[in-house]
Amino acid sequence: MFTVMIAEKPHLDSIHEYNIFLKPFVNKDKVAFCQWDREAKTIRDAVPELVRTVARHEQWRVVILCDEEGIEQRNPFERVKYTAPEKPEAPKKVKPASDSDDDRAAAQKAYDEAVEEYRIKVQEYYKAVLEAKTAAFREAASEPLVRLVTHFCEPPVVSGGHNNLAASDPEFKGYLDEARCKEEIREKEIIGEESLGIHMPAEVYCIAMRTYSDAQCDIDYSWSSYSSHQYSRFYDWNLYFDKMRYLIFDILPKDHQNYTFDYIRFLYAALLFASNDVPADSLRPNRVYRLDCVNDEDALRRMMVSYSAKLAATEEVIEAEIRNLESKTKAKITDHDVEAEYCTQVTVPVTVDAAFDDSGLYADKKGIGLSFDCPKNEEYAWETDYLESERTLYRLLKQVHRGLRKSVESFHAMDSLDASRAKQMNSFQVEDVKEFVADSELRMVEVQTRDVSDAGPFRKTMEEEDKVVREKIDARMTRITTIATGIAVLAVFLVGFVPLFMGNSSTGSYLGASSAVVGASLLLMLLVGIICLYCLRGALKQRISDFNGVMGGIRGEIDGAMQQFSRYLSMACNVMRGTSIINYFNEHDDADTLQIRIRRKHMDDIRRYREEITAVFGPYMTDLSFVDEQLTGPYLYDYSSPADFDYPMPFTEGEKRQIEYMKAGSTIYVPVDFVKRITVGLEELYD
Amino acid sequence: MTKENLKNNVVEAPTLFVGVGGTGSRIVKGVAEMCRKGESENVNFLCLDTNVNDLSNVAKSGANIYYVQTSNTQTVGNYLDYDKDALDNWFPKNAVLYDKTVSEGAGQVRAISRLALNSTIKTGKISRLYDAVDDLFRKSGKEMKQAMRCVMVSTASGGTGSGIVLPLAMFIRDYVNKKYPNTSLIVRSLILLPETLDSVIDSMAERESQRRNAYATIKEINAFMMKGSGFLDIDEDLKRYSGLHMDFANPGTTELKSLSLLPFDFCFLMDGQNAEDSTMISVSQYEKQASQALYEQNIGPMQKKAFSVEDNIIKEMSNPGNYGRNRFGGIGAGVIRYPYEDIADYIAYDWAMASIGGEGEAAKWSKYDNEFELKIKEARKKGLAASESPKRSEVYIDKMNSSQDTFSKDLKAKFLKDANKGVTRYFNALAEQMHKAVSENTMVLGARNEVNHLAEEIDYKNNPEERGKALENYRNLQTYQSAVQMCAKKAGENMAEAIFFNESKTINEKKEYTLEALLKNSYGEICHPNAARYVLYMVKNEMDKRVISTQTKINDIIMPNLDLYAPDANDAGTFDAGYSRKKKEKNLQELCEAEKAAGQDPNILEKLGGYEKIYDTINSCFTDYYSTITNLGDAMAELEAYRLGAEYVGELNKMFEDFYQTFGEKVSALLRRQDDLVDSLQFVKGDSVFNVCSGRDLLKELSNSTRSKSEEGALLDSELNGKIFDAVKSNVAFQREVRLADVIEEDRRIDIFDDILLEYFRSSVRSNCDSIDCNIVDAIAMENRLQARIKMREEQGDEGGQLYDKVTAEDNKRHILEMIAMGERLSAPGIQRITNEEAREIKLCAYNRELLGMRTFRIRDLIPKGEPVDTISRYELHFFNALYNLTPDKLNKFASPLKTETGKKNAGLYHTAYTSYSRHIGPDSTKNMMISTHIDKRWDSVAVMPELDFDYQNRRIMKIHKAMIYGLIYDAISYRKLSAAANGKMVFKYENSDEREEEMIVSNGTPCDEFFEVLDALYISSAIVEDIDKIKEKNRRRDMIHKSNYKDTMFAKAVEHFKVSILNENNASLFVIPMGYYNTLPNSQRFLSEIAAMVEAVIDVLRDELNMWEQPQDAKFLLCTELQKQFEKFLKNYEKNKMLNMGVEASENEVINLIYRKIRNAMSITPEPDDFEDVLMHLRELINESRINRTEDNASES
Repeated sequence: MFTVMIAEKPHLDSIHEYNIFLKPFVNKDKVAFCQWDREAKTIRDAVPELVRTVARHEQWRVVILCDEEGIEQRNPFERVKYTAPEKPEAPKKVKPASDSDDDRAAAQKAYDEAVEEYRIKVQEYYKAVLEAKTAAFREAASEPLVRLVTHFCEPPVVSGGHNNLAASDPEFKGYLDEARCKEEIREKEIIGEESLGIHMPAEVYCIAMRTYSDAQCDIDYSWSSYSSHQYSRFYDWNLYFDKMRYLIFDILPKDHQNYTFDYIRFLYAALLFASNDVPADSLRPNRVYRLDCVNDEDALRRMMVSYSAKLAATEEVIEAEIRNLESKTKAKITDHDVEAEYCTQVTVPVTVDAAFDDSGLYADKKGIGLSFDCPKNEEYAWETDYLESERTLYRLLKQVHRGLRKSVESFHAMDSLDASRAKQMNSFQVEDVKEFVADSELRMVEVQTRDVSDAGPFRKTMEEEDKVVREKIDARMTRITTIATGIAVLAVFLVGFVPLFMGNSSTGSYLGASSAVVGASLLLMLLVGIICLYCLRGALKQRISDFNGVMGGIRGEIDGAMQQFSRYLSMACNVMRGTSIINYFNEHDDADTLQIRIRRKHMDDIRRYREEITAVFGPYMTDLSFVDEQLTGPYLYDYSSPADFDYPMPFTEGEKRQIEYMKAGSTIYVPVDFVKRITVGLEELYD
Repeated sequence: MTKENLKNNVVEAPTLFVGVGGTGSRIVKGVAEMCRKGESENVNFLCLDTNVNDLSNVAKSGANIYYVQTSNTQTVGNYLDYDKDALDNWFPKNAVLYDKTVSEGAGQVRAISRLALNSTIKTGKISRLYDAVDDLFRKSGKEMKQAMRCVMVSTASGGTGSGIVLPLAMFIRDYVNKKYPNTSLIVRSLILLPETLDSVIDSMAERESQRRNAYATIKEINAFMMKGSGFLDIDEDLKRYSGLHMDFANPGTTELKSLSLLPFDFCFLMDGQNAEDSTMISVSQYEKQASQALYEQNIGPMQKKAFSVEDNIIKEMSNPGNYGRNRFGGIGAGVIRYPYEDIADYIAYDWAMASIGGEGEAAKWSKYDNEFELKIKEARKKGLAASESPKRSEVYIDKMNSSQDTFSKDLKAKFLKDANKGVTRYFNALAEQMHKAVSENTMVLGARNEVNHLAEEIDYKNNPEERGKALENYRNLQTYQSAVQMCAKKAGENMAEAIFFNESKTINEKKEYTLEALLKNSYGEICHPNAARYVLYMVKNEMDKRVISTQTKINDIIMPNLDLYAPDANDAGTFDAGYSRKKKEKNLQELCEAEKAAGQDPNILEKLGGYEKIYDTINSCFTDYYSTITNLGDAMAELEAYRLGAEYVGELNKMFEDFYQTFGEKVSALLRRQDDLVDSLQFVKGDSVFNVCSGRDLLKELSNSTRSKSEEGALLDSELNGKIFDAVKSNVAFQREVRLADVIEEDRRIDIFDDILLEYFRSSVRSNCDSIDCNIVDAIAMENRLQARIKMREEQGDEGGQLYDKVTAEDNKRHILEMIAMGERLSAPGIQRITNEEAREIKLCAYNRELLGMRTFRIRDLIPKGEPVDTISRYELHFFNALYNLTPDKLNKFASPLKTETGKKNAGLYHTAYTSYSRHIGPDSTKNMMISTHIDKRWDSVAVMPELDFDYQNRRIMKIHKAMIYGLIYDAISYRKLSAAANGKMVFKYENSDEREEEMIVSNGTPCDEFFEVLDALYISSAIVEDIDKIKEKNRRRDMIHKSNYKDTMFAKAVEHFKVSILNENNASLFVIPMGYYNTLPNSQRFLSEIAAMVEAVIDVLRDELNMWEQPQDAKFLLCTELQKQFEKFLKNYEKNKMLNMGVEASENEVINLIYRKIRNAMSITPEPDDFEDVLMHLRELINESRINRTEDNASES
């Protein structure tokens, strides 16, 4: 069954502190721990983790490790003392002075009076009992344990029937009065308005430590006869419940030198108890039992001695490693290696993406015809080229930015060096590295970079060129204009020949020649016209070439800026690399010294462990002949790392041992071999 | 070996097992759990307890058990406030009990349990009991021939069980009698006596409490057995008990149900010591023995024989002295068992270790992982980033490749020779399968069919009908592309899932594209897990690579290529048809549009421009476009396979790694398991089951003899390797399911080591190792042989190897007979035998019918009275033993002290505990710490409930009578005013040895105000009886100091002046007491036996006193004188006192005659006084001559 162990902080801290030893005893799937603040007023404050812990459990049980207030008492659970008022004794028969009737009558009268007095005393006695009990209940209600368990147990049903036994039996009346009083105190003074909203635990176990030891009591008990009905009714005036089960664990006093071990024994007994179900019929209500854990001292001795030997073996291993490190000849690094590894100039290139195509920067001169709109509209074509050029420029500038970012990444990847050998440098070599750093630093600050991220100036230059080109284009004739002009010129030219034709038409002899001249002139004129058109086209091409020249200049400017960035980053990288080496040299010991220091730390840890176990288990670690060779191998950790290793007890993994648990025939498996049995025995407490 | 097909035992009679209290419930639960399915058809189980926690354990049992909680959180006080009958009549109310919460158990107070039962009946919560009974009578169509049986189990020592077992038995009998009048009911009970619980109780006070509870329980059962058998109504001496009964609450009415039925037909007791005087260690052993015995008796195959004896016992019920009480007995059962299954497991562990190679070899399995751990450590030491740390797969593969040890070499030679080729083959097959998946996709297939002809170039020149379709074809190709893009991924995913998450067994899978096929070598043998991991790591690495390369192929080659054929592509250089100067075609669509429609011919200019070349371009574009789309589909599907495969194989690897992490530890734990197994089989003293061949040495020897000689290094069997991989697959599948599902109802994870590896060897041992599969008799013989071998080895110092023992068949037979005898002893009844009495004992044994066919031994010779059955395993011999015809008074622990001429016998343990406590019980339980141990406080009185031993009973009655006589003589019991206030009301009061007055209360709770009630008051107040003894002793001590003779003693003086004030008789004879008692009794209560006892008590008192103070030789004669004197005085008293004579002449008074006869008897005991006859004659004459004084009568009449 799922078990919640409720204990005060010191107990839980101890469980944590002695985890190395207690670890195998805790079944984490079955047991949860909740801290108990005894001073808290409400259950939620007293055990704040409880509700969350058991929220999903319908069936669970609680094991409470009680406080130490009653540790010195025979019954540590009897927190509230109740002394019953003295019960009046029945009067003795009064003997008559003589056999005379008068004396007999007088004696009888005296006896009758005594009986009447006795009757009154008895009534007062029951009243006094109730008062004393009520006072005890109230006192008990302030006890933290009572306040805690009241939330875990249902009060008994005392509804009161119709038989009215109270009328004839004063003790029954007393019981009813007490029951009502208990109910009222529980409801008003303890529960109040508080409701946990969880299932009640199926079982409630209280475990208390006890240092009481009085042989006189045992003798008294042995030589007296008691009936089981006379068992102490401490649960009554302590306001406990029938559902509770009481266990005490006899422990050595705190000032005893073996207390710590005994306390650990208590803890693992309690943890075993919490991790295993209680066999049926083992614990009866309203009885106090002694819980004990019987150890196999030889096995415990074997384990503790072996553990100590294991730690010692580990210590030896580490010590040997330290000796090795100390005796190792210190490695050196050559000047050449220093030069090659730490003083090498690195280059952090700042480039645009190789795939970047910058041809768009330049306008296309091809396809320019003899007139404005033939073969294509020049204005439109220029517009397209210009826009393309502008876009490409923007892309180029973006590439610069990206190239810079990529370079910074490379820079970061390259800005440190494997410094593992740095500690091997001598002072001259360090000086060389420092010089290298200083030189690089100087060169770094000398670099003049310029901002090429702003496209404004470039754009302005481009616009100026654009204007020139546009003016030129604007000045260009359209195809129709050109043709019309040509035709007009041709017409005018041909009109000039009309007289010639007219004059010669009659003769006809020169007509052929005239026609030839005219034809030749026409051809010449056409030729001149075409040449003119080509010249005009050439001028436009020149403007476009100029524009392309400007764009080439811009490209060059950007490339130059990128080279400067590259230089700057390269120098900075050199500085950082060199500095990282110098810093490492200054701040780190050499590897071996460091390793020695780390190992010494591990040795300190192990020594601390050994001291702790010797303090607790000293008496079990005296006879070294108990060492189990199988358990003494050193812990094989990587001692070059400064981690805090666990040095668990050498509990054999998977080894479980069946032991007797609480009663004959009931067994549990324990993960250790030094626990022989867990026993419970009735504590003979009779009122 | 085939699993035994055992038949179920048939229980023909409807049988109800009732467990009462914690122990009783556990025993019944044990029986229920022993029942095989089918055996409980006519059997129901019911448990009742006050303790809710114990009941909840019963409720958790797998068997179907009815249970009733007979308590709630009420206190005893609260119960009493409602139950008037309990309060007024039978509950020993006491302040210490009032505040007890009944749900926490009855706290060993038996009456609390009855109180709770009464409430349970009243509130109707007992209905589950009715259900359990009624269920046995449900109509089934079968003939109900046999009487119903009820078996009740309880302890006699605790509170709950011992408190209600008796009332419950009567209650059940009453219910069955009334509801099923045509059916008879046989009730048997098994009652555990307190010594069975000694291991739990270490407090002597508690033990004593339990012992007296036990005595009280048996006393009650004994009494009700006599009552139920009718003897209390017919026997003169026992008639006074004829009113013995028990009242029950009656739901729905205020009336009570009064029952005095026979509680049990047979009551079997189980005590600390059995009939062989041997004991058990713990309660659980007793509980197991009880469960086993009850199972054998009521369900097992020996039930008929067991019951047949009871008929003979019933005949002896009426024998003299038995009074129907010889219904007590004891039962026991034992089993000699050959734990075949456990032994097979033990050997399986050995085989597993041999096959794995033990811890050392197991380490070899993990060496590659260990290498990785080392590398990781080194990497950490170097400060490498995680991304630069070595990968497990790389280290694993490297290590295995480089290892030169035999294990690695074997692995490589057998499984990994062609691993690389295999992996390549696997990937090719996988890719092919993925391509197939895409191509078979309906949508893709449809689209592809439309464009299939475009896969190759078309001869447009010779096929003019193909012309003019470019645009159409282009559109179809686009459709094909869309179909591929839409479906390839899904199709690939589906196919990959089908391939990877298949559920087929590795051994059956042969398809090349499956991992299962990859894990087989060329001979079809499945890889050892280590080799499997090697291959899987290779596959994983390759998968990872292929995921990247395929993705790159898609992104960098296929997709850009496809983009080229997109409608918005802009690449006039590629697509420009060139024949027309008007337009430059920038993409395939435009190119296709440029093609003349069918029927349209290009003009001359276009022809001159090179129109025909368009077909070349189209051809090259279409074939490329087609193949690119197909490639895309294939690549997408492959990518899915690689992605899923990489993930899946990664998970497989992880699962393997997890398995390997615990592997070494589990191999080491195998030895521990064997140890545990041996421990569990080990016979512990007190056990009822003895396992043969189960010693550590024997098992070792047996295992050695079965070890296979054909082991092949540490490589496992191919089938097992397959099973391991299947389990890994299954775990991965479950893990995925867990990841995806919100709720997982069943944990289907497989523990590879336990469920696969070990299970394999377990089944392997069972199917291959015939030598250990033998029946129980052969197993015993085998044990003998093994023992001999071990002995030989010890003598020879031999470590292993073959041995030839010299065990003969005779030796074996002797050993078998010894074991059978031991089995009989194990089944000894749980109660000690009675000495000097004929034991009515039956010893039964049953074995499997198959044993009849044994050749080596004849089972009928070995167990002549054994019964061959089909319901017992052939690995077991069952023994059942029962002891009948016991009466509890003859059982040593219940026996009263006895003094005979030959010696003195001390009282039994339980008797002592009971009497030493009960003698302090007073009439008013509220004023006494001693609380009645009975469930009815009235039964403390010997007048109400007979004792176990009639002699003791008579002695007890005599003691009480004497106490009355002494009390009256010494005036300790006197007739006084009730109180000063109640003027005139006179009652008998007792002035105790401390000179304090005590009320005398009679059994109905009223003050004792009649003379006859004095005896009644003393019957219920043992404390006063004991205190009167103290007064007697006190007076005797005084007389002793004064060295008195009889006549000077306080007693003699008190007798001299004896008077009985209520009878107005001064100077009275002691015989006035019986006379007065008789006269004041109501007629209905006038039992002559009581008067005779009282007269004898008077004579005894006188005899005791004379013996005390006079010489023995004188005492007898003085007694005669004193008797004579007392008788004469009595006659005088009689004559004159009307309250004595009641108008009847002495000669006619039967009491006087009785007194005379008793005096005569007393005188006639040798040595007789010489004149005793004269004296007697004289006394007779006096009687005859005596005349009562009628003067007053006449006067009053006149």
